[in-house]
Amino acid sequence: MKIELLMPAGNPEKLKFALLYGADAVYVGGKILSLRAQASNFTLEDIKEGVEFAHSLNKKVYITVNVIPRERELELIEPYLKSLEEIKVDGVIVSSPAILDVALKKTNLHVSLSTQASAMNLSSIEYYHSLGIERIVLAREVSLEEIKYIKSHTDAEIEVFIHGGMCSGVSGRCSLSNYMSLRDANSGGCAHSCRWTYDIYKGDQKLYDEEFKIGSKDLCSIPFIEELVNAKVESLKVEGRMKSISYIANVAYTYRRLIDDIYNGTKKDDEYYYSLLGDSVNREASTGFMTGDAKESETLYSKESSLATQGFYGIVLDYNSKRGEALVEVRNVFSKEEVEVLSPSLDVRSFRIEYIKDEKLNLIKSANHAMDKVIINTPYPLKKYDIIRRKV
Amino acid sequence: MILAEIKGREELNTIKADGYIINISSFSYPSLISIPLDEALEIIKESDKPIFVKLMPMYKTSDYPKLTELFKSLKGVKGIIFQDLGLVPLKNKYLKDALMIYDSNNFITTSEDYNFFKGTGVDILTLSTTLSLSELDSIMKNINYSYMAHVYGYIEMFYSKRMHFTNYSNEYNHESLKGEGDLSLKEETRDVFFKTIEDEEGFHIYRDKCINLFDFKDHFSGCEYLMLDRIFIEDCEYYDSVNLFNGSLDRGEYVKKYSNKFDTGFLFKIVRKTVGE
Repeated sequence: MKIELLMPAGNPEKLKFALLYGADAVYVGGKILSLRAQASNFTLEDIKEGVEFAHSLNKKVYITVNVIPRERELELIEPYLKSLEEIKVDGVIVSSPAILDVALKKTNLHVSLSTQASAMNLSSIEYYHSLGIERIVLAREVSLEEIKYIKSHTDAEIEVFIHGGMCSGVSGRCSLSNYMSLRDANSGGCAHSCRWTYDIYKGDQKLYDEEFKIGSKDLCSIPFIEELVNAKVESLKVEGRMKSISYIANVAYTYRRLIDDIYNGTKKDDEYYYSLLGDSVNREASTGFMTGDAKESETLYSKESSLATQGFYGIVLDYNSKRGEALVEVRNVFSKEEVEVLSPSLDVRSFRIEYIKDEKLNLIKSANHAMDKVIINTPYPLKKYDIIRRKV
Repeated sequence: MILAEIKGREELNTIKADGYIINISSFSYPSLISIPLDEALEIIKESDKPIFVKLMPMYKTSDYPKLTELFKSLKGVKGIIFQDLGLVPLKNKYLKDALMIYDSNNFITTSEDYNFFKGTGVDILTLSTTLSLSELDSIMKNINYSYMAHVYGYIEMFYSKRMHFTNYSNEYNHESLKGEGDLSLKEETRDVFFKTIEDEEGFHIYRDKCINLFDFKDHFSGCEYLMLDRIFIEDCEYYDSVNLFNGSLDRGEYVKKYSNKFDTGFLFKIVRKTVGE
């Protein structure tokens, strides 16, 4: 069985892009009982449509039901899980004992243990697996060597985070956000207090001038994918339900290429895949615990360097082959300039935009407004869902 | 039953609790109040009151051989307070009579969580420290199983396997801060000091204030065990706090001495899911 590339999808549009750009499966949150409360999230109807779309491509949709619910939410659990079962989702990702119990005993859903439960060792994986949980999403503190050992000693499906943001603390155990912002991290309200700036004090005395930071750099596992494939873990997971379409498409595209190249025996140097990723890392990237303990190089000491997504210019909605023109939905300002096209399954191509027209076919100097539709020349056919971006 | 943490055999006589909790060097955190294994085994053997061993780290697979040996040696212990569910199979194999008390800090938030653990070797769940009083009341109304609760002490709000003090010292060439028990973190916009320590098991941030839920003891009617955490608390204050809970110290006298030192945690705080909710 080929390893699964599992991408996040914060809304139905991202779901399509993730799947079209190479994901084998996506994970999405519903309107209830899901973390990432600020992601758009899916209604049951959205989930149904997403599942139908994914299944039409022979791909999968997992639903995150990964909050730690409060007593008042208990009554929501069983009806919600039954609804998901009726929709024929491919599984649920759960961390709460109360939700796990209902999922395992009252539905036939495939159940994954969320990384929020922080399964960090073989013994805990065997414990959870013995209770009927089919897949374990490993804690991010598990190293590559430990992953290999664990996978060779368990029948549980193993899912590994390979890319994206990471909690600095043990996932699910942190209540910094609760204390400091009155926002419940385990209900989806995490304020990311671990990325704030602190000073160290001994009594009343501030010890050092340098700010104290504990925020984690983002994970990027390009150097380890081949070994994870060889270890026969079932799924490689990317974090980021809040990330942009451009990010989702680009990361899916890159890891799809890498995985396929490994299976085809055509893997190139890591630098090639890093170049494909480009700026799809919102903070300085690192390798987390993959090589062992997370040392100082894994902590984000510098000011947070969130890269803006202004490089994402637009999405192709249609192509007129007679005129050699593409209809583009604008996402960020662009003008007549060199651009790149990211297309599923094709190499990245570039061309120069020679002219831009508005919807009334008037020539304009630049596309200035997000969500406007404009027409641009293209030297070759483009397809719906192709992405136009700044040439790096 | 009031459970108190002890730092040595001599405190079996000085602390008047219904049962005692011990932290064991090289296995438990916080290391500040842990004792050597030999002494722990003697305490378990000698005490006429129940002894509980607290093993709070999330362990790595490579820790399990030594944990197996530890479990084999803990005969006579009343229970294990733990966070890593990988310990349950060890208990089932080597310590069948011990109570397994799952303490995940904030995972147990409903009356139905126990249904998942029933029959697996987990005996008691520890309530989340982030519950409001009304949430606590509704859980207590519905539960059918034994629970434990933290009712006193500094509550951990962050646990990382990353050695953040060591990493910081390395990054900026400062002296190591590992193991120092009197450090705090101050967030740049908040005038509060969060007690912080790095030990062999990781990096831990605690609340700025100690909780004391003595006045709400009756709301924990479904809890078989009430636990008094000890880290960062001076001995005499801890003894007084245990005495408050066991009824041998007058509440008024206690409040006069310590009222500015504690609060009620989340009992009266409204925690939102997200902005605007």
